[in-house]
Amino acid sequence: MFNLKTTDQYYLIKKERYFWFLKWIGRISSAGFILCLISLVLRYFNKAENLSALLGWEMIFFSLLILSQHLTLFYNDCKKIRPQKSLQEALEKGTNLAPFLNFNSAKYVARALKRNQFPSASILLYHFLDEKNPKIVFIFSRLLINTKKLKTEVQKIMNSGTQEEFESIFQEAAAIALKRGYNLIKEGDIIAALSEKEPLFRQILIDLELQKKDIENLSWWIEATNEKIKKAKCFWDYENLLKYGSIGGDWAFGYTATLDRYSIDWTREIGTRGFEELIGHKEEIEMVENILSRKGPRNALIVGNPGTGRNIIIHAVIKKSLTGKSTKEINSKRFVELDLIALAADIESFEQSEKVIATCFNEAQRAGNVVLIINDFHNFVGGEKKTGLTDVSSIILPYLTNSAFPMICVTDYQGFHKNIEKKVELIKLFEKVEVRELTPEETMLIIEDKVFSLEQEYDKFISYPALKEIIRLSERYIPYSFPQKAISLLKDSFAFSNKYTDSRIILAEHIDQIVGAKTQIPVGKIRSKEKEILLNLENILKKRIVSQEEAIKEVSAALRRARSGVQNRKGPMGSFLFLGPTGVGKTETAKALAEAYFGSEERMIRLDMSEFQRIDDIPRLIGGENQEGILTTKVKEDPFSLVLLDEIEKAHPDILNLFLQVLDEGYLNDNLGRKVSFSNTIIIATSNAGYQIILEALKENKKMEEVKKELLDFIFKNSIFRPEFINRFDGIIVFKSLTQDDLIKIAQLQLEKIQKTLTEKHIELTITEELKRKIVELSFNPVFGAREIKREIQDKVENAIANALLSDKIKNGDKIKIDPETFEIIVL
Amino acid sequence: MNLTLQYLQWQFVERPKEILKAIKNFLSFGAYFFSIKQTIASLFAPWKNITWSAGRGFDIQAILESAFSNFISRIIGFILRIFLIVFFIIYEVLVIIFGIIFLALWILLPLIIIIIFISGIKYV
Repeated sequence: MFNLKTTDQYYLIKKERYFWFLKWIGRISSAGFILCLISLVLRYFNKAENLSALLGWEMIFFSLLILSQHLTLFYNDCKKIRPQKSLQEALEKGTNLAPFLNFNSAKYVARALKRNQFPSASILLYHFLDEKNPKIVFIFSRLLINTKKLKTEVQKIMNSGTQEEFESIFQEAAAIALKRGYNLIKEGDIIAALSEKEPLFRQILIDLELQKKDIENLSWWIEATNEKIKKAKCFWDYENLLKYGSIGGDWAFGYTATLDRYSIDWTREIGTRGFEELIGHKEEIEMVENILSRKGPRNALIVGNPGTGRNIIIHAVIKKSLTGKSTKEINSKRFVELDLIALAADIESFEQSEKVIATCFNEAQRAGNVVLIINDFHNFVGGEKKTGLTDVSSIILPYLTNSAFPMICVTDYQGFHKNIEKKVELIKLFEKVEVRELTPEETMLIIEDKVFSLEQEYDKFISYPALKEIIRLSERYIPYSFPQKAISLLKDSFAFSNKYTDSRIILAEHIDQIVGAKTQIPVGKIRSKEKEILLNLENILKKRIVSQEEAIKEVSAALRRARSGVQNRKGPMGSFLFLGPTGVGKTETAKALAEAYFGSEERMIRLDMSEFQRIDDIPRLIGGENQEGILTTKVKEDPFSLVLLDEIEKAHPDILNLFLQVLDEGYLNDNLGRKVSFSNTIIIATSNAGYQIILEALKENKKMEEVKKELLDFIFKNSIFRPEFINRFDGIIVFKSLTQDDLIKIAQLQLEKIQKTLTEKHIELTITEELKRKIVELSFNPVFGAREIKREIQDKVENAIANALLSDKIKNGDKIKIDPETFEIIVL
Repeated sequence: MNLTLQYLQWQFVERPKEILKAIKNFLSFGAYFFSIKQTIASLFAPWKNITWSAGRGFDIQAILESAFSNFISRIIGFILRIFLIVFFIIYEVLVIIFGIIFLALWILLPLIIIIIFISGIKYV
């Protein structure tokens, strides 16, 4: 039972007026103190006598001023509610949640309770929309919601609520606070809870495509920022004092004159720059610490894709070393990065640079307190000798065995497999730490952390929907890894907005424009048109595909199911197996889908699976030694595309097994162990297995459902595909064979393409019924479907027009038709 | 909740605890700033680890020369470290003195305010 009146918060709210009175005493006293002081100084210089009364007033004002400040400080401290009991326990037992409200929340709830015994969500929201509360202002301004307007609108629908509804709001808010690990319910938690309970607010969020978790995220963002500011203000805090550095620590350790010249002292850099917030990678940091602290060789090899935050892990270890929070082997160590590029730029001869590198290693080892960092390690152990690269593998080996001289080397997967993995004597001296890519949620926290400094630099304001768009678009359209790709997009968005717009607010539309310009994908258009495309997919596809109504209907319905969120799924955006004889429109449907959904036929990655009949072909697909994977590389470069797997039945069964994971989980590991995401692709596999059944069915006029069943029976009976493979597709689409009438329609479509090209030359081609019939007559073959038509049109029609154009038989502005018997051009 | 009791606890328990914590931070920082742990541990270590070796073979002159040089290096190291330790002690003493003054001022603040107020009334 929620009861605010018995809480400390309520007691403090009641006493607030006294402290408001104190504030005024403070203001009057400071004014009185200043006036008396001026008066005292003037009288003193005018040699006036009897200043004691004035001095007395000065003392009274001073004492009142100090008193008001002192008591205000006390009251502000009282407002920092620290519940003695556990919120988790209170929530589980269903006891009073009011003692867990922070002061401001309690104040707003108290105001709402004055209006109604059980205020509805609208009444609560109305009182929480306090424009003087910076946290509330932050949340709503980031959402670009006008609080004043919302308050007016909410006021219109304020009606009394029920006890159940009222209590449920605080239970929800408590659950949100617990998720964050807090024992206190704050304003943001209640607003997040209200985002689902209050109808008007909920509708606004639906329109903005936002959810409750976004409000939670905003609330956490402002809370974390406040914490950070508060901590920075406490100059007496130990971590803040550490920024002043130390002296004498390295007096017992050796000079590193040469190393200092060709290196970056990260301990000094991080000490003066201040400690950055660390998000994610906790396991990796712990692993590096363990490696650097153990007995025997203490060398860590950090392996990860560029942009995953490999250097952040090192910085975090340095921070712990600086603050003395790591192990005794790491604390107070000097972390120095050997700058081999600067060294190569300075010294031209390889022999000389090898000597200098050896000196650097020697100095670092003798110094006794150096942890050496080498970035892009693979470049310096590959055996290549070219400008900017020196092979250090032979020089480094003896030092790696020295347990008193730890090293951290950084590389990527490609470099690791190409240059390091094979060197057994080198690799055995390292312990590998693999860096995982951060999740979109972790990346969101990182970019939130960077927003304020960028806003200050560019004098711009970025909305929360724009930040969400950065995460969404960088995940979908930009290759490379999180968090770097999102950070780059955030920085680009500020630079773009500064250069091309006068708007001080960065909106989601701006992000669409930047990504569109970067990737040549009409991102904004796709986004706004997706619903429209999905709803009209049948009509869009019908424009290009002849006769296959049932197949089109089924593809459209399956894609709508997949994209509407009806199915809880991890796999690609959609996956289909197209079955049917050759030349009936399977590939054409895939092309039409690529154009409709991804904006262009060019966004189709087409693989002829008949080229992957042997198990040895796997490296060509996912990459192997010295070769890129055809599939994985293309999907990595173009994550938003349609993958067409032609003649899938011809692929080796082990290759089909690779696709099980893709269809199920939405990713594939390439040969280097990197995860390649297929979650933004549509996968279409085509097969003409069992096409005879369809041809027979056409003769017998069977229903498609029946045909599909027979076809699948045939496939399983002949072990063409395994049931678990078939079951992973969103839809098994059967394409029927084409009749003569269908082929006439296809001939019409093909001839229309020629007609369109000629129109650009101002030549008008008349397509006659006779011509279409003749073409179909010449090309009809139920086994090959429409494939022959294209060849026939090319052979007869296109050749005739080309000859006529070259021999000036037809000129611009002419009207022509084609003789269906001789295929000669007739100028009308 | 009683505001008077809460005030007494805040004024004489909670805040003084915070002040003591801040003093402790400054004292710990002193040890960090003057690298006191390493300094004491390496009090007689050669300055910047600069040492001379007598080389191979038994050459009494070389042995004596290197021993003397190493001795000088250790003496330089010792003198500088002693200076550092002295500065550290001075810093710590100052932190303790100012810390105690600040703590006393805080605890006596209500009394000080009353005294100033009453004295002011007397003057008027």
